[in-house]
Amino acid sequence: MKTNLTYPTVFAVVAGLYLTLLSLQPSPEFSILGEWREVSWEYEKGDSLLDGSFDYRVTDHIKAQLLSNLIIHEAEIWNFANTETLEMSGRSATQSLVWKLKGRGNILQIQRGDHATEYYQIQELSEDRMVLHFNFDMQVRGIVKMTFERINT
Amino acid sequence: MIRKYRNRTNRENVQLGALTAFSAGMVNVISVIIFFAFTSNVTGHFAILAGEISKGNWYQALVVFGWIGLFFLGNFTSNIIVINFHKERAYLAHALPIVLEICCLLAVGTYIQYFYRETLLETELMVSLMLFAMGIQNGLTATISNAAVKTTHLTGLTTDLGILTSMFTKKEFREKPELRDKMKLLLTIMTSYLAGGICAGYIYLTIAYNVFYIVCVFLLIVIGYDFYRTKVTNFLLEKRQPYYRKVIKDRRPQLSNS
Repeated sequence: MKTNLTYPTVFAVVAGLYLTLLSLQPSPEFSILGEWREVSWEYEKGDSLLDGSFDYRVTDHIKAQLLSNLIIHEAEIWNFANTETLEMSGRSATQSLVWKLKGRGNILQIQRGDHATEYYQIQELSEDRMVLHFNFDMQVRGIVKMTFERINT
Repeated sequence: MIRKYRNRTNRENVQLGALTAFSAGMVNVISVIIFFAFTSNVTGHFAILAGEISKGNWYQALVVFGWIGLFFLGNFTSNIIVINFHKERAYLAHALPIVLEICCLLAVGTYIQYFYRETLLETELMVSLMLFAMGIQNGLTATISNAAVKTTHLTGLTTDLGILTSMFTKKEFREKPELRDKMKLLLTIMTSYLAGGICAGYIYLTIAYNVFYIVCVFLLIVIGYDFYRTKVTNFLLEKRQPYYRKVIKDRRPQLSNS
């Protein structure tokens, strides 16, 4: 009889506590909303500098080469709206895309109208900073780290 | 295949391991393709949980904790069904967890096909249901095979395989039939899991979400095979062998094995 009561009680308490804690945490779907400005692009494998160190920053020339076939074409401002639309504006024309989060909220899926889809790994998402990792399939360069700062919510 | 006989044969374990590992491999790969989350890789989820806690990502940590909890709950559910019903209704006790697993996978497959809007909450709930289903399957196979078959536990399997391979360097171990049987079982599970994953990857490109229905067919084979072995075979034996009947004076004929 004691066991019959203990098990449901423990399950109910753990489930209740779990759901309460989960409801107190903001979902990444909510945290990502707002306008973000691109601050930097950094390579996993950068070029060697004369003093033997690496230059992790991507030059504008390399960035232009990388972006030629990508959705995020020279966008500097990313605006995530709660209608799952993403407006990218910058030097190139403004384009409207669709964004979704996958996994446990750690994968950002960006889709264009012609069904071209890109996936970014969200490494950090705080109130004022967002860091995305993207693998460009350029093994020489590896993963690109894109850092953003929030302009407004 | 799913009955817990006093002494299960290695052939039964191999059959059970092959079919369930194949379906687990399919489910795992399809969940990665659609949801970007593993559903039969709990060791990985523990590592992710630790990582998210260390980074202070409490929402993600709680989500992963919930997934691990549902895998645990799946194991708990399947075993509680088996230990509570196997004395009275053995077949039902072993078939019911697989029926539950099929229901979960059917629910996920149908939901994705007709209702999925790709929101994060939906993704998290679908992965939860799939982890629960994998927990049910792993718990059942481990229970009925006396822990010989664990279809989603590839870390342990690879460990056992490594140990066995090293033991086979000595002739005395190589010649032991039980060790050879174990090697056969482990290799079957590993190959089936891998084959299931590869098939799911290929099949998804052509039939998309219908992969879930194919997994359900494999699970139906598991319970259908046992149903055939126990119920249908007994029925046919009773029908075809009237010489088993005993006729007692003034009483209706009765089957000797009923």
